[in-house]
Amino acid sequence: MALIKVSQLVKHFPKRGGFLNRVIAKVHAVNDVSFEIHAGETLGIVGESGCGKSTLGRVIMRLLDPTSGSIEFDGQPLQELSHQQMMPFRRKMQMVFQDPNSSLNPRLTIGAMLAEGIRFHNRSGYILKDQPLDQYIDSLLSKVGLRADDKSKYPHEFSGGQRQRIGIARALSVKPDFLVADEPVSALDVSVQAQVLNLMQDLRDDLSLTILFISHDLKVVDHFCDRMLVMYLGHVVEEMPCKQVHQNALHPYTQALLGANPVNDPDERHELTVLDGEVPSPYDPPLGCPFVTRCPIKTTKCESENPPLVQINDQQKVACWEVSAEKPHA
Amino acid sequence: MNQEQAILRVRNLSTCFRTDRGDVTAVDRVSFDVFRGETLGIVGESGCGKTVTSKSIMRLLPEHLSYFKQDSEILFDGKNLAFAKEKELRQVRGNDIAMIFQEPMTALNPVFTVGWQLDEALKYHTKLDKAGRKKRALEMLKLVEMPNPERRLSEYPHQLSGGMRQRVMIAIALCCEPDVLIADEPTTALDVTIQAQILRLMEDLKKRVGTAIVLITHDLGVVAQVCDRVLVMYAGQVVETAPVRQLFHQPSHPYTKALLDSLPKPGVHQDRLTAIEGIVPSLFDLPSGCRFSDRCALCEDQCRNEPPQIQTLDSPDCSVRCHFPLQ
Ligand SMILES: Nc1ncnc2c1ncn2[C@@H]1O[C@H](COP(=O)(O)OP(=O)(O)O)[C@@H](O)[C@H]1O
Ligand SMILES: Nc1ncnc2c1ncn2[C@@H]1O[C@H](COP(=O)(O)OP(=O)(O)O)[C@@H](O)[C@H]1O
Ligand SMILES: [Mg+2]
Ligand SMILES: [Mg+2]
Repeated sequence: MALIKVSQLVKHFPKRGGFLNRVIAKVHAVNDVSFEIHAGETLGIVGESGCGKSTLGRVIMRLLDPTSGSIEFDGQPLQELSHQQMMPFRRKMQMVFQDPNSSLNPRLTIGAMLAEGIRFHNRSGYILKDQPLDQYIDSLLSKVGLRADDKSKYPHEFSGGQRQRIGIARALSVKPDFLVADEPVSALDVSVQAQVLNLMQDLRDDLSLTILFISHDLKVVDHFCDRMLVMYLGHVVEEMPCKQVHQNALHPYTQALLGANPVNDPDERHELTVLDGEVPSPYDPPLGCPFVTRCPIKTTKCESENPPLVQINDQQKVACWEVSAEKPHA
Repeated sequence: MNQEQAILRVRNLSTCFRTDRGDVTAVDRVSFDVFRGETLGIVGESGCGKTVTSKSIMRLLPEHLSYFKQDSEILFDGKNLAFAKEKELRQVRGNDIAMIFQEPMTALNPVFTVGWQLDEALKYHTKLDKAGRKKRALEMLKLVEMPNPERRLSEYPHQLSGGMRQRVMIAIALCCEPDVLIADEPTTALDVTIQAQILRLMEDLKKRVGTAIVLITHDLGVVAQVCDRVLVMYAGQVVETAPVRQLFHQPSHPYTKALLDSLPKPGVHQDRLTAIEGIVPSLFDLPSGCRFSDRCALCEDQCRNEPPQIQTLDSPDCSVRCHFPLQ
């Protein structure tokens, strides 16, 4: 059963300028994106910077309003809800950010910050139904690998990895069902990245969380997620299960991402894939397929018609004229 | 590798900072050689002293806040750069040894065009006249595969993407055909497809000019992909040196092994990653024994009490700082 259902989501940002500060162009940050996330599933979003991953995450969280399209949480369309009606969903949906510094208030101790969020969302008594606040905060800190006496410290007294644990503790403090994690380990060293990924994995299993996991790092997404969407210039170009991405990737962009990734073993060195052609401006995307300017297998059709995301097999969807011509859905 | 070919030799480099909490030794008796035409990787978690090592070699650290210990040697072309005069350094910097940074904006001048900055480098390093320099600048931008190179000459750094700025930096470094290029996390801020382009450009530079590259990175994938030899740093010290295949297949230091184990491995199903618990110790609060002891899975009493010395293993190419090296 889908916990999150996103349908034909579009988000444009206007660019103003010139005479009278009119809208002179639009960034097509998210373009006609549809997908579902099942309860308990971790869906990864992968793609290079500027492809619209964060915007997608923020629109789903309703931190931004979509230009068009819909977002359903557990069957309830969110975009029609008033601020008041949205309140219970704000508790159920939480976010973890790449840079915990910018999302932690430097003037509040960790304990005070957590208490503030918990009190705000505990009106129905749901969060503190089993434990008083103090005890609940202690158990929360221990869950994310921090000590109880850390609650009297300020954010700057922690390392990057610890701050990310605090960011996770804050998101989980209100007992959400759904988590959007936007590049949660991208600023961390691999050693610490592994600590935080393991922690998120444990919490996900313990709390049966549903997660949208955003990262530019295909290796991390492949390891952590059940399924992934590959985005390019605001479009989803491929959707497939993780763990066998190397065998399964069909879209030429996904393959280019894989081929550009350095190896993990010097014995497996290969010439890294280098894409020719220019990265198009998001203000002026190509007419046809968004990847057409860099695609090694493009045809004339690709220059004029944008390929739809089509089902290639039970588990995989690809938006590419060439791939779908070769592998029509059985 | 042949001893005579080392073009840069670093011996017992110790770099200290004066801070309001007292002096700290950020780089502690670091020694290594750089050979012509090789790529030497320097890896380690953030805060291990990689940038301070590279800036020490270029003498780019603030003089009033930092100093080298007396026996520090940075030997290049018969000179010890550690104690060389600014005039001698200017000769070396850019000419013989060039550096590129993670954030090229710090090294590019924001108020001048790309063309102007290339022209300055060429003025300094060649005897070309104005027209000749302009032609060469364009060639350089083409060489680094800059899109629309003619247009870029009249653009300012802020008008370029991160990948393009890094290409300008490489083009400037190329102008002087340096013997050594020190690249400090040159691709860390870039997307993988752009990283692939930059790594290929550095590889070309090495092949065309014979430039030795010191590639500083925290990304072991990049090391596996392009380095010949590797230096692993931890808390300001070298803890292991080895040829790249040896390092990846038979690491000697538990820290090296732990770093390798913590990588997600595509195609290999891992239920959990193997993390290194804890963090790099603060320079103000270093363990009295081995600096890695409090995070090491194999720590013994001796490790807590006695700092290990760096020792050469079976081959002179390999050394390790550990009381109980693996294997
Ligand atoms: N608030 C905004 N105003 C205008 N443009 C924006 C805004 N936020 C993002 N964008 C643009 O939308 C596109 C997608 O950005 P983003 O979602 O941040 O990508 P990603 O997270 O994949 O790096 C980019 O071209 C970015 O410049
Ligand atoms: N100007 C400075 N004053 C005091 N300490 C410094 C200064 N610059 C760097 N350090 C310290 O030196 C150590 C090594 O830093 P750095 O070389 O930047 O690490 P890396 O590049 O490996 O991430 C760190 O502990 C850092 O805090
Ligand atoms: Mg983002
Ligand atoms: Mg550094």
